[in-house]
Amino acid sequence: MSEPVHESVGADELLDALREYATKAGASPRVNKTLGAWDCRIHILATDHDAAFTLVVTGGQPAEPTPGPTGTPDLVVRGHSFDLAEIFWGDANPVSNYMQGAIRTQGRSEDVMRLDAMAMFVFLGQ
Amino acid sequence: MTDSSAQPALRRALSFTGASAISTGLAFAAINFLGLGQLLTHVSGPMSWLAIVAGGLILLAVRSVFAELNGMHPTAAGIRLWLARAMPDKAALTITLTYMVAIVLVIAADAYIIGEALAYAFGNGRLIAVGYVAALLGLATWLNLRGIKLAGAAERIVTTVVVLATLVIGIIAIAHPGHPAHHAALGAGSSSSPIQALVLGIFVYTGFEWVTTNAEEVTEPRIIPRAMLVAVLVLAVSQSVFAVAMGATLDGASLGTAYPQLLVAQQALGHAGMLVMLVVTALTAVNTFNGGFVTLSRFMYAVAREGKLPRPLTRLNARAVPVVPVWLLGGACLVLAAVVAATGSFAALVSLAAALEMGIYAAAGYCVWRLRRREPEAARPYRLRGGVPLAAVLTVVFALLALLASVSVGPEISAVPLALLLGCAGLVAIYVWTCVPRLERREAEELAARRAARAAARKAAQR
Repeated sequence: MSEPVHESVGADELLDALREYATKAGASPRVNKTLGAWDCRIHILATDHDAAFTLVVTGGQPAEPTPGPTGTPDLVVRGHSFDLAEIFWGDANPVSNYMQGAIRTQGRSEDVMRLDAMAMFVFLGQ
Repeated sequence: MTDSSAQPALRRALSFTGASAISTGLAFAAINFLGLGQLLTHVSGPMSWLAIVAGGLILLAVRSVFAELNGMHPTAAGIRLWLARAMPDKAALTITLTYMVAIVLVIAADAYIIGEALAYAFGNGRLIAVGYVAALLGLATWLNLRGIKLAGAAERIVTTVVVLATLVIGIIAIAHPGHPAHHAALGAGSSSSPIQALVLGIFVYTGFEWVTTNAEEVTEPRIIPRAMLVAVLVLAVSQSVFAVAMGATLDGASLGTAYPQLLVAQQALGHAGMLVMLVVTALTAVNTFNGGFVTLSRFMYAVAREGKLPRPLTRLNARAVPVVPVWLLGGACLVLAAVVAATGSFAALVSLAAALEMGIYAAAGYCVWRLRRREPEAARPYRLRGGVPLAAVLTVVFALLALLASVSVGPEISAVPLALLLGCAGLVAIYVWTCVPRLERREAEELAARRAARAAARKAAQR
């Protein structure tokens, strides 16, 4: 399996993508219904530059993402900025990236699954 | 650049003792007792520990194989990822899905064994035993659908109780083997193959490597390899003691039942001892169901999300549990357990599960072998000592052991496990080569459509 070469996505653009993603997730009735009991502090780290963000989910509702890794996380998501951005844009399936090792996570598998479920609800409208 | 190797503290992380309990608990399944019973048809009771210790020594190399792969890619999707990097994706997917069948087999076998054990303890017939199996699997399915999972502390306690109770009952049974009439049958069939005894000696460790699916939950990468080491040591001691105890207390007919562990406890400690062993047997299922059911249903969900299994498998309920995989698992295990109960062919199930597990160990060895060549520069926090030559040897040895396990049922030569194995693998291969390309095309088309829609929206926004 060859590693695809990606262009980097800048920290500002990545933060914009994450904000847009959090807004869509917050507006999704399915996210509210299914992930309503989910609390999670997520650190999102780009491995190709210094960009790092914190996304706090409380009661299934993602707060406004903030720059930098703050607090002790429940879940850490690492990946190339392009792979991360593609997930937040809905251009890539997070699980495919995960299964291919393009993104790596640390934390409980339940949290990883809920994070993926959020993307599925937002972009596939399930 | 962010240091990708740094291990930040997590609010909820898996400890070393927790990982050790998971590794030990997953391997310590009720089916192990049947494996020990079969082992004693190949080697005499007092010598049975040799096969288990020899199996443990070989498993130390397997542990190093999994430690290297897990260190390279510490992810719950480990086996899927390792295989996909080492071989063509279709072959990797076929092996992965066949491996999932092995986990279903172990869960079904455990359910069947506990059903039979309950029926024996309470003097019920076979039909009631199937009722117990259905109730047990129904409960496991319901708990899973409710998103209820055994917490770390409870898992540690369950594993500790199971191991200690097995050890204590085993030691008492060795010291007081009961009625002397039973001693005449020691080592029934001991003239059989020591290689088959070794296969079963390895089989009792089956599942210790499943702890690698928890790799993302530890903050210290060394925890997983160390936990696997603890599991191998604990299993070597506990299973050896119980195998000797079985040999000292049971005759050939008792060894061939689906509940030899109850008979050992009954022989050594009477009815109360048998009831204690019944509880221990039920507790083994807690770990198997907790680990196997949860891990497998989430894995099916992930493979379906990847676009390689039908999309309905990604449906989540209000508790974010993948509903269809959980129902499918519960149903498949029940059907399988009922078939085994109807045919009484649990020995074939042991052989099939052993063959699949040996096959997975062979595949893991191959992954180390191939990845050392394909990705020589990749970071390997843990390396298999002996490198490519040892990985190659392990691949060949375990492939041969898989073949041997698949053509023997107890002391008999039988092609039934091989036929079942080839049937499973064949069906999986047909699915992978015919259905998966269609699913992949659909996935790619949908992603392309989303990309195009986003690009159009961006363009419109710029105007």
